[in-house]
Parts: sequence; C-alpha cells; structure tokens
Amino acid sequence: MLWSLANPIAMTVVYAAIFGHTFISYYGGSLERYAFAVFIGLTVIGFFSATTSEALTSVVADGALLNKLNVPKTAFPIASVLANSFQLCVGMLPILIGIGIASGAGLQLLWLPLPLIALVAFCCGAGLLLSALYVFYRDIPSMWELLTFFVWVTSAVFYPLAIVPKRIAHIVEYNPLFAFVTTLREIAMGSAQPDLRLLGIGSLEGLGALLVGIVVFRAAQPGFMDRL
Amino acid sequence: MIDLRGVTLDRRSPDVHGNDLKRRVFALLRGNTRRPPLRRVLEDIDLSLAPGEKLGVVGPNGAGKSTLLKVICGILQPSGGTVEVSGRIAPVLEVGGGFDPELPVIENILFFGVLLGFSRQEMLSRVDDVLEFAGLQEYSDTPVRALSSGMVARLGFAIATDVDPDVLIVDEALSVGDEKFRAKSQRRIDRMWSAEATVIVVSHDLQFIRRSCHRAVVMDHGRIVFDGPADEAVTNYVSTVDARASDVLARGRALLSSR
Repeated sequence: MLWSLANPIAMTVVYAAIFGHTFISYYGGSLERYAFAVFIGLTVIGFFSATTSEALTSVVADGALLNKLNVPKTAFPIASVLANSFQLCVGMLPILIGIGIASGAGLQLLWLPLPLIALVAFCCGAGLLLSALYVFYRDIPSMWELLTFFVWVTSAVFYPLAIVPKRIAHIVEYNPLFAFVTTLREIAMGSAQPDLRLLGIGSLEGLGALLVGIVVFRAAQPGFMDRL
Repeated sequence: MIDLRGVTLDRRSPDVHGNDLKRRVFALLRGNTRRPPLRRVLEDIDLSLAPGEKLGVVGPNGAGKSTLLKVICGILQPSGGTVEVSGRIAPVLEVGGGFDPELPVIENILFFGVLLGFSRQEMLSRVDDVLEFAGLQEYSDTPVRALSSGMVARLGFAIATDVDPDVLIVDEALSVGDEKFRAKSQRRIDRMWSAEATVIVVSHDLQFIRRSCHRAVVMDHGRIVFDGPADEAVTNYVSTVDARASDVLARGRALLSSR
C-alpha cells in the first residue's frame, strides 16, 4: 500500500532532479508543474504494468485450484486488476485531487473518475487477454515485459510531447496510454476544459479492450484445463 | 441427483513443441503443423446416482477415476455425452491442492467457502467449527505453508464436510491425519453417511469401500468395467488384479524355464 505510493513519488523526485531544469520551459517555468505531470504519468503507467503483469500469471498460478473446483476463471485476472484499483482509489485519487487544488482546478475535477474507470477497464481487458494467452504460451511474460517498456518510454511520461521529432510524434499519440495520461493531466493540472475528444478515445479504448479481452478469454477457455 | 450418459473425454497429450510461442512459430516456419494427438481418457461412461447414495470408485492408477470426479464436478467438460448434476458439490482438497500457501488458515477457510458458493458472512460463522474439528485453533493465523501435510489434509477434510454439501467428492483423502483425527473423521463420515448427502469416494482402501459404500464401480482404461454392490465390485477388482499378477508370474516362470 505504502510502497505503491512510494515508487511514483520517489521516481518523480529523481526525474525532477535530473530533467527538471532541461524541460522547465515547457511547463511555464514551473518545476512543480513538471513534477505533477511526471507523477500523473508514472501513476498511469505504473498501474498499467503492475496490473497487467499480475493478471498475466493469475490463471496459471491458480491452476491447482482450478483442477479442484469449478469456479469462474475470469475472476482471477479481474481480481488482480481490481485489487490494485483499490489502491488507486485510496492512494492516488487524493493526491490527484491535491494536485488539482494546488493547480487551481475547480469543478472540472469531477471529470477525474471517467479516465480512471476507463483505465481500469482497459487493464481488465488486457489482463484477460494476457492471462488466457499465457495458459497457451509460457513465453508471453518476456514479450510483455519488452512491450510494457516500449509503451512506457513512448508515453511521454517524463518528457514533453513537444520535444519529440514531428516524424515520430504519432508513435506517442498512438500509444494506448496517451489518452489516459493526457486527460488526467488536463483535468488535474487545471486547463479550463479537458479535451473531450481524448476523453472519448480513452473511454472507447477501455470499452474496446474489455470486450476483446472477454471474447478472447471465453473462446480460449475450453482449452485451459488440458494445459493447467 | 447425478446422471452421466455416454460420457467420453478426450484430452490433449502434452505438446511436442512445448507451450512456447517462439518454438511454435519456428515449427510452423519449418512446415511442421502436426498437432498433438488426443488421448481418450474416459470412454462411454453411464453412471446414475440417486440422492443419498454412497458410491465407491476403484481401479488401477491411471484408470480415469480422478478424471471421472472432475467431470462430475464440472471442472472438465465432456467431449461427448451428457452430465447432469443437481445440488451443491464440495470436494475434499488433497494435500497441496487448492489452498493458498501464503494466506493464514482462517483466510483459506473463508476463501475456499466463498469459492464453494457460500457468503463470507456465513463462512465467518463456520470458521470456529472448522478450526475446532481440524484441531487447528492455535494455528488460525499461521500461513498454510507452515502446517504439516497431515494438518493441511485435516483442514481440507474439515472444510468440505462442514459445509454440508449435497454431493461430497472424496479423492483418496480419508486416510489422513493421526489416529485421533481418524477416529473423529470416521464419526463425521458416519454422520454424512446417515444424512442425505450423496458421497463419491475414490480409494485404494478396499476394506473401506466394502464397509462403507452401497455400491461401487470398477474402472479400467477409462471405462466402467463393473457396476454393482460394493462387495462384488471389490471382489471383481481384486480378481482381475490377481489374474494379472498370476499372468505376469506365469510369464516370468515361462521365461525362466525357457533358459
């Protein structure tokens, strides 16, 4: 509980110390705003990588139990994500609200739950998909680690989007977490209105991932027991 | 009520390529699209149990006894035929299966109860009972990994029999624990026996089957080869084992004398 908060806070301090002065001009000359942006980015990416990697192994890890009891198998990856969501609510949400108040955001903070819920749905979908694939292919974790790292580096967590060369900027914009990171920053760091188009994209991503996850999991499920 | 009609089950044998995406892709590139063969593990099983019936299942290792139980529990879906089961089923967990080794005993009791379909509230009221029966009151906050294997087996038995299931599934778990626990569990078994619960026992303890079950089936190579009164089933099973043993003996003798 404490550690899940300690990690992004410590990382934020490190990034602010190393890159803060280089990027400060992109954040209105305020080191604070750079730190807020980094913290929000780290929160999202941290939640994504923690929940998906936990969900990934969840079905296989409980293979012994599934061989003894007939329980709904979707419960395992979903539980991995929801357990972390609890920490997101009691740990991160107050901090996001605090950042909002410090940045002078007002009623727009009421938008906060929407991207957070979409993010949870997105991670549930990814978790369902990965946990089903892992039953069939046990080398998925090494691939996923690589992919998570790629997503992490390209999600503009610790650098401003503006420094990315125009030719490859769309890699960042097509990053699946871009919508969540950006809308949460907009809401908590007090732009007048969050970008509704990005909010919509984020919500669709969440819904879409959840649907794909459920469909794939259901389709793969009959093959589980011969491999657990 | 349990009703199995013409149940067959094919299971996939372990993959020659292993469960590995990288190797699978390389195998495909080399044009190797061979799929692992299916193995028939249950063949044309007809089995019908009335409520309250106590059935013993005997047979050699690998005959499909445990697999049959898994089909009845709904863990495995049959490849053919139909399975109808009504009522709540509780399996007795064997050593090492199903419990979360890191969680304390008390959490495991709650967890297992919830998985069996009870509310957390209801399980909380049963926890003391279960702990008492398993003789683990002092261990309620100990993680399961720190228990001895006998204690884990006692715990599994205590939970499954405490929840008063309609169908109790017992796979080789009755001969667990020390003498004191055996006497206790025998009393509880007797109680279950007199109650309405349907019980299915897989065991190599033929005396137990003979003594406690109305009826027994003998399984061999995925088939039910005998279904009848427990006494006759055990006699039948023992005679096939004896026949096989004397066959092996005869072959051994022939081999020796031909030298």
